[in-house]
Amino acid sequence: MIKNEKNRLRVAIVGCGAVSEIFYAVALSQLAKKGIAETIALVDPNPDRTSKIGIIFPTAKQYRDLGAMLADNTPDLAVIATPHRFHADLTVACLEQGIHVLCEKPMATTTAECEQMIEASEKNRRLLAVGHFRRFFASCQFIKEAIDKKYFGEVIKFHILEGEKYSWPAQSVSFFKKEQAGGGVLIDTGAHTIDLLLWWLGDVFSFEYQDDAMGGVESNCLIHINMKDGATGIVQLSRDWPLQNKYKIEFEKGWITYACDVVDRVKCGFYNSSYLLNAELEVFLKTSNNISYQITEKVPSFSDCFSNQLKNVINSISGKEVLKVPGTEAIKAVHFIEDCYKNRKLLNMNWLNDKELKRAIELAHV
Amino acid sequence: MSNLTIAIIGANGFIGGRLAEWLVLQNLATVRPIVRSYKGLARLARFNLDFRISDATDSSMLEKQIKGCDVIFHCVVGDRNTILKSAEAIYKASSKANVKRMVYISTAVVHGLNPVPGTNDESDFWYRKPFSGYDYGVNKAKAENILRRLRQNGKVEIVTLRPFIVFGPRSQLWMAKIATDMLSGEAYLIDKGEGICNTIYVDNLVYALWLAATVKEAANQDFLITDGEKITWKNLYTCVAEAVGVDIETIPSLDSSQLKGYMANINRMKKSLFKKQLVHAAKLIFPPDWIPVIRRVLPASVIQKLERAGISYEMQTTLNKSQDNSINLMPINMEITTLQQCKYMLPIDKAKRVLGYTAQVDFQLAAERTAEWLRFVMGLN
Repeated sequence: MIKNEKNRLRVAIVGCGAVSEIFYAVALSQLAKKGIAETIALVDPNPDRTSKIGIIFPTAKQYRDLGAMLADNTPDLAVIATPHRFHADLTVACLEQGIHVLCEKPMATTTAECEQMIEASEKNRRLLAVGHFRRFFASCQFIKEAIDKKYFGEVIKFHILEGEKYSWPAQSVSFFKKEQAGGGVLIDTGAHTIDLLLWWLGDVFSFEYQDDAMGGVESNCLIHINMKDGATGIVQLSRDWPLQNKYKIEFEKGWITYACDVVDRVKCGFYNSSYLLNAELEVFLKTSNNISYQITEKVPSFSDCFSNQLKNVINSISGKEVLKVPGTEAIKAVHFIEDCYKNRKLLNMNWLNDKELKRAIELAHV
Repeated sequence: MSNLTIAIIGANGFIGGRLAEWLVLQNLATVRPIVRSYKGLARLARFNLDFRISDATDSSMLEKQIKGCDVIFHCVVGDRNTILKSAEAIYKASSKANVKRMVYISTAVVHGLNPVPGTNDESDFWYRKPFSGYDYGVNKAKAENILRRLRQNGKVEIVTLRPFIVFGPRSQLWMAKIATDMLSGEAYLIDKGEGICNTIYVDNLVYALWLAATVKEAANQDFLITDGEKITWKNLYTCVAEAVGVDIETIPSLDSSQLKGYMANINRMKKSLFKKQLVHAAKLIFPPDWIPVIRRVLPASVIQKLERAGISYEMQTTLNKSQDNSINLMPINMEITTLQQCKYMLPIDKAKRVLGYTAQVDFQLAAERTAEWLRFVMGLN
């Protein structure tokens, strides 16, 4: 691994939109204070955006495009956080130059692009990580463990409702254009949701997908899914209206619920019990036969999970850790999302009149 | 499709959003949605439209975005500043951009939350706040006055619609909130919900807006607009109750003649609760043995001021969320309580006569469609 004279990993932020400003810049500045990483380059076609993040990283050089950066500078790691349609090209360009990549979700807009990214990663022997940082939440890890170790038996059903009135401080129209974003709520927030679902429950056997795109990108979608292991369920996503923001997984003996983005708490219970656990999660550090000597610590906070994702990538580069979300894992969500779009049907919007529904079908091209 | 190009300013709101959707799906005009920031495009982006970004209170910014439009719909919502400034800015921008007509969505609340019998399209505005902290109707009346002044010398025609209770899919206030209040046990009716609701289903409103944009004789006229059906608050609440599986008969009713006493009780409890909260806060800050001393040394005038603050309109939500078991009375929302006491059905004769308006969807069908949407977003299907 190439490091600078201070022995810090050199990082470039490619794409200086909202996610870089709100999450990556904060996490990278924390890592800089700890002497782990140094942000040396900021890339964005909009000078206002690089200048804004440049306040946090005053020594970082600012570039208008990746080519200009590569001609002048070769960081160890590039964080790709651009509009979705640029993920593949920029990732491959970095990998070809021997730069490790952490690509923001979704990994890309098509499976073919993901395969090119993985191929470039393998050919150039550089890491390709994808920003599914919810896998670093203790709550999500607990659910993974409960499923794998069958604490409540086999999974029977799941019901996922995730949605908010869109409030992300988008800095361009790219999130809302099919050709730039690849889709709407499914490929955006849904990339996280689908990644968790596939990580927890494995492969999909069959599904039926509906959304409300009528010539543009969907703001609501509904998926009925049958998993290969036999579990069945519903995923409903919205960036139009606040939904319950709850994942409920029903097992043979009991159930678990996860409230979206709550990192340190789950609710669970057994069917035959009068009680449920509204449980705060802690990390077991040390245990013994004597309960008094159990040593625990608080689980990482929401923002810590973002830093931990970056730390995992950095430690994986130096061989100290195994990469938690490699491209070979993240491609599964993109593949499923792509299948959904290929097989899409218009959402049942029975609140519209017949004339409108007829026109909606024409506009939706389904 | 007509040859009209239409800009909807505030196209991401409840009415503006439905208007954009309705115009596109009815294939009536070329629609140009204008929103304040990119995030406002999330729902509109279901369609492939000519989206624009502009501050509704900045006329020079707006002028560029509405150039080439025949009609402008003012669907902007916001605080006092936004209501007043946007009315003027949109009119001025329309004038400079040679827009023919501006359709302004006002509210029948310009005639009060509980309009007096005999109120019609030409009645005077009601400039008194119905209760402390509520100035929506007053601000909309002032905005209408600004527009009246501008149109005296301006060339842009203005048509103003004054709906009252607008409900339908994506109505936060008159659908989603009632549903969550019902599920959390906080919904109530006044006088068994017999008050007149003066509803307008959002699809009927967007139809009226289209008429306001296209009927020549409507120029520079103001219209009250409702469904034209005598719908009570119980009718509206029943629609929500059936959608979310609540028995309407379990929703408590308060007698309007006893409201004064009820409010007095609430206020007494608020004072008591506020005192308890003060003591609790003090306990967190100071050692327990300081409390009696603090209580003695705190001037009576300070206590009075704090108590007064504790019974302000804004405190209602605090009371609402209070965990104090001593509060057995339901929290009261003054807006809903006042609205529910309406006994007068607003007339829509002028809208019928000049616009040729009749409701396109009756209440029964409107309720069914709204319930479908409500069940969808609540994950109840």
